[in-house]
Amino acid sequence: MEDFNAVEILIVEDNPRDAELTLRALKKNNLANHVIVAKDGAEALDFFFCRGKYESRSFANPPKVVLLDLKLPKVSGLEVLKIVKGDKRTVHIPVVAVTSSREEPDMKEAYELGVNSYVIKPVNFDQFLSSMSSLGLYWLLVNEPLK
Amino acid sequence: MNGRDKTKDELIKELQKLQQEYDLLEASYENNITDRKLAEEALKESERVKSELFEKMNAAQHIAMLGSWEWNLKTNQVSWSDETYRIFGVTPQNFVPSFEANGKFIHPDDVERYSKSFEHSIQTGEPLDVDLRLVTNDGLLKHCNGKGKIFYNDSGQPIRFIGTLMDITERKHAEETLRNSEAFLNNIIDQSPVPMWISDDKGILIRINKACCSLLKITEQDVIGKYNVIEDNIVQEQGLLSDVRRVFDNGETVRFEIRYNTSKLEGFSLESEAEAIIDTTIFPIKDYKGKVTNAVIQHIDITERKLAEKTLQEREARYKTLIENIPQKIFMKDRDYRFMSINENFARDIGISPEEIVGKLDRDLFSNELADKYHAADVRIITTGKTEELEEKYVVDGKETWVNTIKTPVRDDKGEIVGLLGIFWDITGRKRIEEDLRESENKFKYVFDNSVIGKSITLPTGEINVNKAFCEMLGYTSEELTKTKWQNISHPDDIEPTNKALSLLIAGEKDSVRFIKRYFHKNGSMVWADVSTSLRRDADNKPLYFITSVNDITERKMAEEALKNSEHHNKVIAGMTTDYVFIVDVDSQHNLTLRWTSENLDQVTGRTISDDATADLWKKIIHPEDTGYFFKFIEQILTTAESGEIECRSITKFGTERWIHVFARPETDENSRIIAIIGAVKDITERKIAESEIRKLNEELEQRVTQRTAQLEAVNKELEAFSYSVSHDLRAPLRAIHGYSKILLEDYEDKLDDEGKRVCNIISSSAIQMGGLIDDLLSFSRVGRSSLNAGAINMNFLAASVFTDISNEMEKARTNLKIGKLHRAYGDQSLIKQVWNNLISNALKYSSKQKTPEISIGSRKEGEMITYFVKDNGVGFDMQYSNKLFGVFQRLHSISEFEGNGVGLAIVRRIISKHGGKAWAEGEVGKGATFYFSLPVIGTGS
Repeated sequence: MEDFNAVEILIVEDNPRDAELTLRALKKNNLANHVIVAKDGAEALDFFFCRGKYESRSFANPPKVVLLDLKLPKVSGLEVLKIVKGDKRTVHIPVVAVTSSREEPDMKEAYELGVNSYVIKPVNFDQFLSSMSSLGLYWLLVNEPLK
Repeated sequence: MNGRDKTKDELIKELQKLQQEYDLLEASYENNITDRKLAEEALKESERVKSELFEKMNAAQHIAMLGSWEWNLKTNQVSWSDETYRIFGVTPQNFVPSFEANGKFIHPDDVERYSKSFEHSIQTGEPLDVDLRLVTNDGLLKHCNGKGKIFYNDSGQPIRFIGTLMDITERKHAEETLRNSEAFLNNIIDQSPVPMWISDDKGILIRINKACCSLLKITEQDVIGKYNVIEDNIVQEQGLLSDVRRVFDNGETVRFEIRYNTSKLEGFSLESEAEAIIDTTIFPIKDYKGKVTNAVIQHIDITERKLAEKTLQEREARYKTLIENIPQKIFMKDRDYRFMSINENFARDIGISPEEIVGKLDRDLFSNELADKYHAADVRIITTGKTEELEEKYVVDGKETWVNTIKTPVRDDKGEIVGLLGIFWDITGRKRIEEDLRESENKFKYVFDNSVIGKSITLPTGEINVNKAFCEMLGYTSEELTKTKWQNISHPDDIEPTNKALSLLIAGEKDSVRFIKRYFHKNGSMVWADVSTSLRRDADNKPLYFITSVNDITERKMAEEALKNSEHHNKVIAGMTTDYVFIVDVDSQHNLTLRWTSENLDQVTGRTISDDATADLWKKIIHPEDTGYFFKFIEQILTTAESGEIECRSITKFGTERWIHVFARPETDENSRIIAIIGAVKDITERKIAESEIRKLNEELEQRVTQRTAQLEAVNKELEAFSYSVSHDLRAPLRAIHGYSKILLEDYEDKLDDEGKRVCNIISSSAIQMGGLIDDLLSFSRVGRSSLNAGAINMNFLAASVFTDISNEMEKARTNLKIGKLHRAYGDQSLIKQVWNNLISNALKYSSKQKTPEISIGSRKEGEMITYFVKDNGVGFDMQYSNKLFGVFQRLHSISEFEGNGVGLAIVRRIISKHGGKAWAEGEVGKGATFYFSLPVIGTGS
């Protein structure tokens, strides 16, 4: 049984390839020790709100950053964002939209909903690695979360 | 030849005789020289005689002014007598004569004659006789006559030339004087305007002047030497021959008149059959012995003078008869105021005969008082030279008598006053009538002047006299009107009718006429007048003048005119519309009665006011369904007293339905009570039909637009969903392909041979390439979908900033960029920036292989479009592919040559055509390319 309270990075990603590539990037920087992957929006919400299989998790131990893909089955990334940023218990959790989409409406809506950062996943893997690395380093080491 | 000349001639003859004697002596002396001794005594005697002779000869020569000379032809010596020296003006002391030396004195014009004449004589032996002019030593011009003879010896040889020289200057002068005086006389005769001719002692005409030729219509040739005055028929017939004879026989001067019948003398300025009277004077010319040698005959045409004299006499006789018989009294006085003559009438009056009056003074005839009075007037006339006319009143035996006197100075032909002429007559009767008349005139004038109605008196010639009221009516002064004629102040169109009216009066057909006419006020305005005129006649029923009363009716006329005009205008205006106008009277119960409609009512509705003037007419005209509505409208106007309008349907007489627009306005009286409604009705059927059609079309259009919009929206949504999907779903697998191929290379490097690594690299680079394609495709589709956010764009700034943004340091350094002055554009700044981006990056890319890349950017305005261009000196392209350049994913170069996906120009074209412009390119392989795009000057494009 994993200790969900120790999770530092939540990756919400339905595409297992992307998830693996992301993890690989984090691992390269030794940032993948406390990472879990949610396969869709519904699971992500369970995590945020400590329900379902994340019942054991406490609001008091929020992740240091959530990497949220916007195109998700069941509940879309923007919907997740909306709920998370609309709830006092979760609004302070840094959420970074990580998406393939360059579509302006997505970006615009995400920011309006209160996303903390917006990162586009490059096709080029080298660029992808460097993006993910800097993302992980920043949120885990540089950024000061709310205690 | 005068007496002196005769003496001279005699002397010359004597001299020549002496010369011959002398010559003989000389000859004998020479011939007998061998017998000298024998002849010594004789010689001595001969010498003495010779010397004596010589002296005599010299003296004679001096008197005769005749010199002699001798030319010894053997020795060529010339000897002169003393007189010859004198003639030449030289002395033996200062001049040695010779033929040549003498020639110097000859007048240049005569020199040739001088030598020729001598030569001639010497050659022929003929005697010399030549007239020559000399210019003497003293400078005098002398006319001379040279004579000479040649003497020969026994053998016939000429030995001597002996001759004389005579000074004939005086004779020449006398001849010239005579010639001149003859010419002078001839000239006088010829030029004299007095016709004259000269006869010889027998009466035969020898000279006639021009004036005479033209008077008698003859030519010199006809009469000279032919006509004889003594044999003239007319002279004989008129018994004048004895007179003529007295001239020639007795040397008397005679003068008489000859009468010619003008038929014989053509050209006389008299009527035919008339007589021409010629005053003729003949005087003789006598020689020194008193013998008549010639006669001069002068003619003067006195025909007209004679005629005038005759006329004058007749006229005088007539005047005398007249003067004696007129009732006026006439007298004439000299400068001393003495009577010269009076006429019979005057003589009878004062009881003295006309003969007796001569030399009398006024004092001799009248009382002192009267005489002094007359005299004073006479003195005035004589001293001032002016004619006076006086009317004077005399009281004789208590009876008043009026006398009119005219006194005028009498002048002689020089204008000097030599006396005076007086005429007087009794005018008592006339005076009395005048006074009566004046009184009546005064009365009339008072009435005339003070009448409030304009009055005028008009003479038949047009001159007018007017009163104050007339002056005021026309704004002129009475003086101005007196000077003009009625025609000048009348309307031109009224002159003829007025003349007609007046002629009725003159013809006596009417006693008075009355008519309306127009005058012109001084200020130019028209004055209408009601005119009554009658004609005054004298006792003989002759027209004297018109008396006219003139009433100013301008205001009335104007009012009438205005009314007529406005009625006419209304009718015309109403008739000019196809619609109609109506006036409805409204009574206090709001009952409606149609008062008037324009004539078009019939045309539009097929009904007339005569059909029905009540409100029921409306029920027939208005559509039954709208009648209520219509009357409610009328009622509303009556209650609100405000104008209004409605649209309703109308039914024509023929049952057709028409739409009408009614505009109605209430008319109120002075108490604001509505008394009528004025309405204008317009047929708007066509408009209504058009309106309903438009409405229907609009509705259809609206519907179609909605449908189209919905379709478009659906398509757009699909497209959006598609690109969303593309951007997410297509990229993810690519990322995976790239990522995993990289992982493969990283994690299994040692297990992969070179070929394996190469394959992995191809896989990953293909993935990257496809990612790029997808990105471009997406942005291309985004251009199509996004809407324009148009505004003014500073193209210079935009192009420059794009270049700065997209070029790296090296490109910036080596590229020769020229940006001209670019026109401002109107469009979506972010899209236009994209255009610049794509074009400039292309230019950079394709010129990158040049040593010095050159990019120039510019613009020009052409009509309603502005064309921008980006020109490079790069690899260029083949013009046959120029169309493909702008297609999506169209490339003319391989990736290995130049990177790119072939979407940039497609995007450019899409953006530009979205703005309503065009994009095109020109180029040549290896010689660079120019890309153009145009934008409308103002506008938002599609």
